[in-house]
Amino acid sequence: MGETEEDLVATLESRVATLEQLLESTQDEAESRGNELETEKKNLQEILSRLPAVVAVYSGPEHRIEFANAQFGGVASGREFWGRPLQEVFPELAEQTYGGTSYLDLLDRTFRTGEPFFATEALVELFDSTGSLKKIFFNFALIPIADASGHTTRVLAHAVDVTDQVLSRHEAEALATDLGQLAEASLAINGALSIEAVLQEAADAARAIIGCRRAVARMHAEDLDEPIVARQSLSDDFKAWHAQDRFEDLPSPAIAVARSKQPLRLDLGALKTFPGAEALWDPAEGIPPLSNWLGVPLFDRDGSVIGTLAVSSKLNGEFTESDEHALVQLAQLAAVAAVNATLYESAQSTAETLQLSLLPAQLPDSPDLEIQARYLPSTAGTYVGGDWYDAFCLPDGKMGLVVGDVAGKGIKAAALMGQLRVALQAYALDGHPPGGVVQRLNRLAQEMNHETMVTLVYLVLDIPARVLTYVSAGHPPPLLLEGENARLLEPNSVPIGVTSFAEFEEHSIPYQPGSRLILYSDGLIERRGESLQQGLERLRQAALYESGLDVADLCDALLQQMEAASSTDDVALMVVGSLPATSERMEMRITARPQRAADVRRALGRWLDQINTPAQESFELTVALGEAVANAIEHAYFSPDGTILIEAHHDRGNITLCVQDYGRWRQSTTPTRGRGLELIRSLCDRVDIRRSSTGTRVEMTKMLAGAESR
Amino acid sequence: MSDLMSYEAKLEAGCPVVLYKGEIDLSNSDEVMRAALKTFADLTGPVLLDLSQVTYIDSSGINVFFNLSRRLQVSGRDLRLVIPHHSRLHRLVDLTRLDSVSKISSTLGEAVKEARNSV
Repeated sequence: MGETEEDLVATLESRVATLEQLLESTQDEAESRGNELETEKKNLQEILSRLPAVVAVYSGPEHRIEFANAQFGGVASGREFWGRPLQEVFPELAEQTYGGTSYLDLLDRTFRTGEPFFATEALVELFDSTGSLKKIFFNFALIPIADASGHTTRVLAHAVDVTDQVLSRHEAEALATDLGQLAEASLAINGALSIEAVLQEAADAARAIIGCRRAVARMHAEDLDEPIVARQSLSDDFKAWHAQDRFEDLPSPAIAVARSKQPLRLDLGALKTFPGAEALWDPAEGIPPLSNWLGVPLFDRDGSVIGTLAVSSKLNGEFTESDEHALVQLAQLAAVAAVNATLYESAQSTAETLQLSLLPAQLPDSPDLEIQARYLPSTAGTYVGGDWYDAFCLPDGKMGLVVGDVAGKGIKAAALMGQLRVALQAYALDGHPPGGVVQRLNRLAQEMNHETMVTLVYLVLDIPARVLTYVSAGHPPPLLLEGENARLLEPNSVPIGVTSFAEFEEHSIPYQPGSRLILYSDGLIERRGESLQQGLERLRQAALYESGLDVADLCDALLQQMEAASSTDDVALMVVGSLPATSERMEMRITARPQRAADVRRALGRWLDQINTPAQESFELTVALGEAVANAIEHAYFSPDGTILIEAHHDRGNITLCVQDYGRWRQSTTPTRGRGLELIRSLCDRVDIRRSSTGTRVEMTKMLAGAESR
Repeated sequence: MSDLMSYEAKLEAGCPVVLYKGEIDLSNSDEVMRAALKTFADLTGPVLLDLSQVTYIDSSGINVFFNLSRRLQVSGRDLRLVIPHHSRLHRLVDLTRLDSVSKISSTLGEAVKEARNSV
């Protein structure tokens, strides 16, 4: 800017010098060079006319126009000006000012003081040839011209028309304001994660930016018949529109917008003649009528209309073309965000469904253990994570327990989690020890080349021996709660998927009946601004504090105490309680699968051992129970939940076994089952079978040898 | 093969035998049947099944032997089971009258000898 001003001054000064010389020469040689003067005048005029500026020389206190170029003539638009005072030529200038001073006064001042004056973007309104006032912005300079004695006799005015620049800058500034609002709206709209939220943000932004009383954003199917999602934004005096609760319905102008795929602007007159728009300008009593309406379509990526954005009752005047532009821009933002929200919602629900389907639907039941697990998705509202938990029965009365965490989120993480979960179970059921299982899992992760880090802890409970063996691959340590002791099961190996040379060390420790094992993902203990150690200590304290609760309540209490619900990460928690040894009774629930029959026999065998049942009778009871379970598995084929309840208790030498299924009785199709029932009757002293619409209960009692003599 | 039960087919003194180990229940009784058929289908003579290392059997397992004996009767072949004297399985054999459709030997050697004699 400074440079430009200096350039301008330099240019003017050289012009003034030329003019001074010329004028001096005209004075001195007026007589002899009268004709020459005219010629010079014309020459000068011609030179000055080539300048991209209005140039004039005002002479004397009346500012008579002594000299002017062609551009000046243009501004004067046909008025007589040669030799006339400026005020006479442009009477409309009298009231016009710059910086609080009238233009004539500015000219007077330069004439009186000999001080030049510069103005930028001075607004001048002049009558054009048609008699209407025309706005012109000038950057102008008033330069004094002195005679030989140093008195200012004339003022040279040099004015550059900057109207175009000023107007376009004003436009740009207005646009910038709009853009600023649009940028803000964009943030809000794109930050919305549901379609409803997108539409609400779009309606709010439209009402604020356009300046109107009501804005409605709607999404609808292409045929316009499907139910639609809609949100509206209302000014306080328009809240009554809430009473019109059917705003989900498309009003006729919006239908026209959707069909024509064009914006539509209606003033009150047009609104009143628009077919079917009566409800807008003549609504039910108590609802303010709309005074005008503007609607634009929301386009999908392929150009089909997915909705409309409409504003109505502008605060000041009618909707303009620039309102329409702004609304179109807003509609573009909203449409993209709405499409993304749809995709997001489906991606989110896909990932959630995927993850839920990958977590075990049911945890195994064991007479010696109670297992409870919880899964809380993160509150961050982004995608689901790759946390998982699992529990499965292994041969020889062992139970496998896993909690793991796949780095990353979304469908990919959930899918990888599913693969690893199944692979781990497969390796474990193949008979590999915990270290071997994790080793193989690591190799698998390397081969799958996911470049994803996975932490997990895999733990095997040897229930008959009451020994737990664990391997931790970079996972936060499980907590073993035994009475007043809470012990973290460290140490740790490297995470899975990091290096194929990793060693996964197994550690074994005995555990007490009645102890609790707490497995979790890091979301449970992580808190902003807290170290891992502090988080672990909080968990330890919470577990000790709540140690009196049963397993299910302990799970919920830990989630609450650790404020898991507000965790920004997913939280997986599994609590396993080793049930205190009780010889009075045994209870277990299994899924109705033939493979589970052996688990039942195993559990019964351990219980019968505990109460010192002789071997032959133990065998016979086991066969009887096996037959009853086989029957139940066959019935449960028709049952809705497919579980079987097994109970056993003993009382003064009598052992009673119960098998309850929840399926429909079915006449056995094979002679085998008939033989099974025969066996049960032969092996037990009393058999009671009760069938009902909800299932079948078989109760078998056997008197132990020598019981009668006791 | 399941964890519960395994089997192997072998020759004992020139005689084909299937040796079962572990527990036989509804989850693997089909497999018990298949193992026997696979081994003996293309042969003639008695079918020898060694149950000396079977620790548990339920009615679906017992049923396998009933079915097998019925099939063998058609071609006049014998079903011979090895169940040691001390085995708990005897109680079940007695209860289900499995001994009515099969011949029971206490040892494999005895079974082979008796199988030879009967041919």
